[in-house]
Amino acid sequence: MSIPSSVLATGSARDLSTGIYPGVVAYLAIAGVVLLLMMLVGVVLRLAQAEWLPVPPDLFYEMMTAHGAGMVGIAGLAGAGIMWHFLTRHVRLSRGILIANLVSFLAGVAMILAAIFLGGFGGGWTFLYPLPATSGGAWEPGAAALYLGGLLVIGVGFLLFYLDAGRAIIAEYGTLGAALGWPVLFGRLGARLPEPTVVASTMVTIVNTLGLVSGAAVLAVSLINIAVPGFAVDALLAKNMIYFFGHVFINATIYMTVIAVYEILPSYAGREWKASKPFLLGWTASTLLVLIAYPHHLLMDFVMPEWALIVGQVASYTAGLPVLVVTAYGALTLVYRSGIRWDPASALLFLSMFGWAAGIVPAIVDATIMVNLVMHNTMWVPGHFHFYLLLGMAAMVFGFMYFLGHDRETGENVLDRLAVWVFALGGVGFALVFLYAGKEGVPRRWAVHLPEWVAYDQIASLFALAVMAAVLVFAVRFLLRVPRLLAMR
Amino acid sequence: MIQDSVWLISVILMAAIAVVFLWVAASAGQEADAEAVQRQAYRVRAGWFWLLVAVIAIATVTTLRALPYPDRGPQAASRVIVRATGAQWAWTIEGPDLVVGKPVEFQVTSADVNHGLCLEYCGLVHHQMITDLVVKPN
Repeated sequence: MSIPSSVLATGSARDLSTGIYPGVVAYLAIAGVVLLLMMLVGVVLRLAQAEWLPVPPDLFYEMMTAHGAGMVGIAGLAGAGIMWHFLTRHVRLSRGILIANLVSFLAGVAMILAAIFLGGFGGGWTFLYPLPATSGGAWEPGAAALYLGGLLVIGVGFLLFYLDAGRAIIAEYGTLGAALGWPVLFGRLGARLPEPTVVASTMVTIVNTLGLVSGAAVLAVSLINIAVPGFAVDALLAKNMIYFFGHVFINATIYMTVIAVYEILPSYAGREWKASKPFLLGWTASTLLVLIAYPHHLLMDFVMPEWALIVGQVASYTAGLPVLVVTAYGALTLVYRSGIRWDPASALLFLSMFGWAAGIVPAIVDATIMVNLVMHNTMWVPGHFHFYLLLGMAAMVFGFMYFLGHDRETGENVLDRLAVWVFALGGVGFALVFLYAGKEGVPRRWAVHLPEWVAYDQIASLFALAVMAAVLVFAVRFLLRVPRLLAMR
Repeated sequence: MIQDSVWLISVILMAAIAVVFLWVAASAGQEADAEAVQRQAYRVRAGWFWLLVAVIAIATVTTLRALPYPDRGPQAASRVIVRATGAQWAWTIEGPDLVVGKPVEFQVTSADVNHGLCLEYCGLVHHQMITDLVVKPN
């Protein structure tokens, strides 16, 4: 099954949003609700640090665990929904696997919520071995097992999703290399040019399959460690496996949601966004660089081989190039003097390109070993990832939500336009306060802050409330459209 | 301090990116031929791509000269050894008095989970794992 790219390139915005499979609507509706709830949790964390809301430290760390796991998971789910929606126009994906992934996701979420709020698990979303099994008496082994099991169930669902995507891509293009455009890149005559959606999906399929296998393996041995404490794992190996998985998975979310930009923004600008040789080269480079950049999470683990940490810095520096040169610049070229029609969808998608591009700067800074020496695990870290996940990845998801089912009769009003501005300005302010606090040496993941840090927390709380108000508008607007989206089939 | 420098550099670069996006958004209302725009944009891209590569290469070489890892520091014989042991949720620090100007080697280990002098999250009392180090004048 293949739809010529010309059909997509010249199709109207409506062509791209109609025929939406209910499973995708379910993915996005759940994403809207969970994003909002997790933002509420995040706001509570900042209010607690700001001393505006009394939250006991144990509850703070439990909520912090929920916020991290919830946000990473829902970013993955939203990205998968967007990828499936557009990829299924090019290859034959399994609807059963799409639903199976959703079911395992919900089952895993239920296990994680029970582990945290009934079992008191507060080991952080990164479940760093051997903390889950060694809580200092704070939670029972059963709670840790339930949390790790929940993550494993979710991970297996996602692994099935990417295996199915890989199967469908290979069935249509022959090899994953062909779907990344290597025959075109290396000049084979008559080679088929893959669509941007297929290239991005293939990259994500490769990296996430590897990342999820690593994550599942370390979750499995951590579970065994809980059941049989004598079964010890090398802590450094476990940390490498966890950060390889976590780094790859969270990065892949934005490489999935950017598909919405590739597909939707051209229809607004009235121009084409086709894969070119620089585009293909950029995505192949991203495939490799995302896999090898993860040691930048371990720069202060002095027992790591020095060469691996240098690779982490160099790969992190280089990983920014394809994003800036291919995707962000491509979006700027697409929009420049295009006569684009601005509405919340196009504005959020354009904003997302800024969020991703600008967020690379503090990310690269943090990946610099001599800087990491003084910035490691300070607020600079959540500052950089909130920049490109909130203003990049989440903006792409909300842009996609606005795009789906949009028509002029039930179109957006001034409240939606205001919400976009509040989201953009509030998001920038929120992330900048994190970064500034990091510069001042404020540690991340502290339930109780020293008096001299509280002012930053209070300013950040105001920005966070503004962002949440805007997201409330986005989410409610999308949820109100769900019945109409389902009727559009 | 290095923190001030990287903050300044980051804000300037992010502001520059914001200006470019705002400029493109502001000019989006006027229509121009897509192919002409693309041709011009690709020419410009070739220039700034290599500029970016050069900046990254220089930054890489410059920053990797100052690695903080143990074998790059002062000679072992001249260091004062301080043993730091992390355990949920306190640090035990053992060693002689520290003196201004005298290099120190921290030998850090853990009795239970990951701790690290660099703020590794270690459970529900993580924020209380702080201790004082007194450095006396020479």
